[in-house]
Amino acid sequence: MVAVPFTSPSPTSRAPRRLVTFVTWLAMALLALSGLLAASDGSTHSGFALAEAIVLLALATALFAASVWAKRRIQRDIDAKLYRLERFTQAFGQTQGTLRSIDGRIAFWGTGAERLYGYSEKEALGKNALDLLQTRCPVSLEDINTILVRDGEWQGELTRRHKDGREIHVISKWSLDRGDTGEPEVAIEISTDITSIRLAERQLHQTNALLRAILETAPGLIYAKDMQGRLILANVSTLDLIGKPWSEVEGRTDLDFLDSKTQAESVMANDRRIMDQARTEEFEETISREGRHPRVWSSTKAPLRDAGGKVIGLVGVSVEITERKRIEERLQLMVNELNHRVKNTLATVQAIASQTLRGGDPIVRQNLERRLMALAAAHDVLTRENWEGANIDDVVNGALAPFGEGGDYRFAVSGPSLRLLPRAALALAMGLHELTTNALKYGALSTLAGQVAINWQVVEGAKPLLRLTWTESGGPLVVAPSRRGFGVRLIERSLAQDLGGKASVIFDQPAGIVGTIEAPLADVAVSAEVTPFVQMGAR
Amino acid sequence: MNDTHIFAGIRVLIIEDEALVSMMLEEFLEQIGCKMVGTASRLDDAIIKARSLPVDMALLDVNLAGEASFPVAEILTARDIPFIFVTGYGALGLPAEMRHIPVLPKPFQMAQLIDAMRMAAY
Repeated sequence: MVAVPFTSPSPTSRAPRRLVTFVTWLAMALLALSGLLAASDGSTHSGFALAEAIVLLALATALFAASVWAKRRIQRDIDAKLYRLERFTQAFGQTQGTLRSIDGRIAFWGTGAERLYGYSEKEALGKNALDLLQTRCPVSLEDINTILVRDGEWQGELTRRHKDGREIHVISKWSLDRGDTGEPEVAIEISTDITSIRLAERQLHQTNALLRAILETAPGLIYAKDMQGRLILANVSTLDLIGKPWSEVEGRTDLDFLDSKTQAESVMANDRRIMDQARTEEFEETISREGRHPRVWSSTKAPLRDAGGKVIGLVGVSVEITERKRIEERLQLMVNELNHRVKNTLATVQAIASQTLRGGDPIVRQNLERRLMALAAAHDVLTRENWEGANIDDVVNGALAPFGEGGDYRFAVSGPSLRLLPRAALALAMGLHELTTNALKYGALSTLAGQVAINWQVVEGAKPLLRLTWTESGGPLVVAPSRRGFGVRLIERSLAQDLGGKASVIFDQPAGIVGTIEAPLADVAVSAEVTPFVQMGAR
Repeated sequence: MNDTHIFAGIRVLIIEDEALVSMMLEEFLEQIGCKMVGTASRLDDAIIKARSLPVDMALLDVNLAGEASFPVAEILTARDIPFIFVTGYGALGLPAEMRHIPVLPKPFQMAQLIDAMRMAAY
């Protein structure tokens, strides 16, 4: 169909031809007429003249008939050719052919065109092709026409509109058909729908632009490498780190642009592992430039796969953590120093007490020493965990350790694993120490057969509770003391206060002493949501 | 603690910057019959004494008023004198090549001191 209302280069070219035909007819008619007139004169030549005139008239009639017949035959011929062309183009799906007359009106409208543009043959025929389809051309119409007349054909991309308003992109080829005299008669157009390709291209372009924007905005290093470790993509941050433009790093490996060959080999070994195992990994990498401090990066690298799922390289993102590492190290140093001071202070307190109580009751001195040791043991557990919390198992086992000699069987410890807050860990360690000391002096542990069961559990509810029970058995008959000693008071008062709960030691059980500690879980345990972070920090 | 007599009469050097802790160590050592040949609380003094004194065993605080006592440890190692580290840091605070040295963590009881000394002696 005609995209462009084709304007004939010489609209008058058909007029001289018609004039010639008209003059010929006129001449022959005059000749025939003169023959008839001569015959009617009745001269000796009249018979001849009449016959001559009849022959001429017949000749003229025959000539006229022949020309009409020839024109019809040509038209039939064109129609048949167009029909074949249409059949042919239909075989190619979205390809469609149209024909427009010299004044830009649609003269032929195939079913392919109907399918592509939505207009029926009835709607399209006789309409201006350019207007009907709101055609937009890549260059001016004048230019296209000039080419069409000069070369006989033009090819290019057009944007049109479907009947329903949506945009259609086509690749169009126009051929100029000239009549016998060489004058342009019709323009044949064959177009192929490339809308889906154009849309896909546009989407691809948008995706690329988005990726490029992310790539250049992200603060870290983003890069991709092939199986040989050669760079196939790098963002600005990566190029800044390398210190070279993309043209100088494309297709090169870490060995080519890192100062330290050892570090480059280490990085490439990491890369190879990711690609060999086809698994995403996160790890730290150190890069040193000559004359500068080494920089530490947290890298996440993932295998890069082709459409078939085969690993063809890797993509990586690296975020600098040099400063974070430095702060972490300094913090660790300070925590170490603090722990050291606490332990030193405890040793000094122990020394003061030792000197002060010199010559006094050795039992008193031993009790004090043991309590200090219990406190120090609880500190040890917390120190190992950077004061971020302690496993309840570690706290319980740490508190029982000094008494465990030759009798682990005397303690039955059970309960779910959970992490205690530092304050709760210290309080629990001291409480258990007192209960154990008491059991050794007066309770189950004062006999050979006695045992202690230590069990803790989480009591679910609106406010979950941690409940720990200390149950002695097999010991001597329990006699409630006339006066509650420091140990029991420490458990019942200090422990309850530090844990934000309640604690009790029951002496009037015939079977043995029962101690119960109950505290809101939220006040004593590191919350579940925080645990992963704590574990990461402790590592 | 029945074999504590094995330490009777041995000459001990105490290097500890905390006077009270140093005194307590002396008291503990006297109880098992050790002979005090000297004490030091500063690194320079400790180096001189570790080099010159006739010593059978040394108790060495890791941190001497902010200075690490590892130079003293090297001298003692070179002289083949058994010693133990007395420290508030755990064994993790020690350089890798000294991790095999027995550590007496602060605070400590008599029994722990004797255990550490026994490990150093054998």
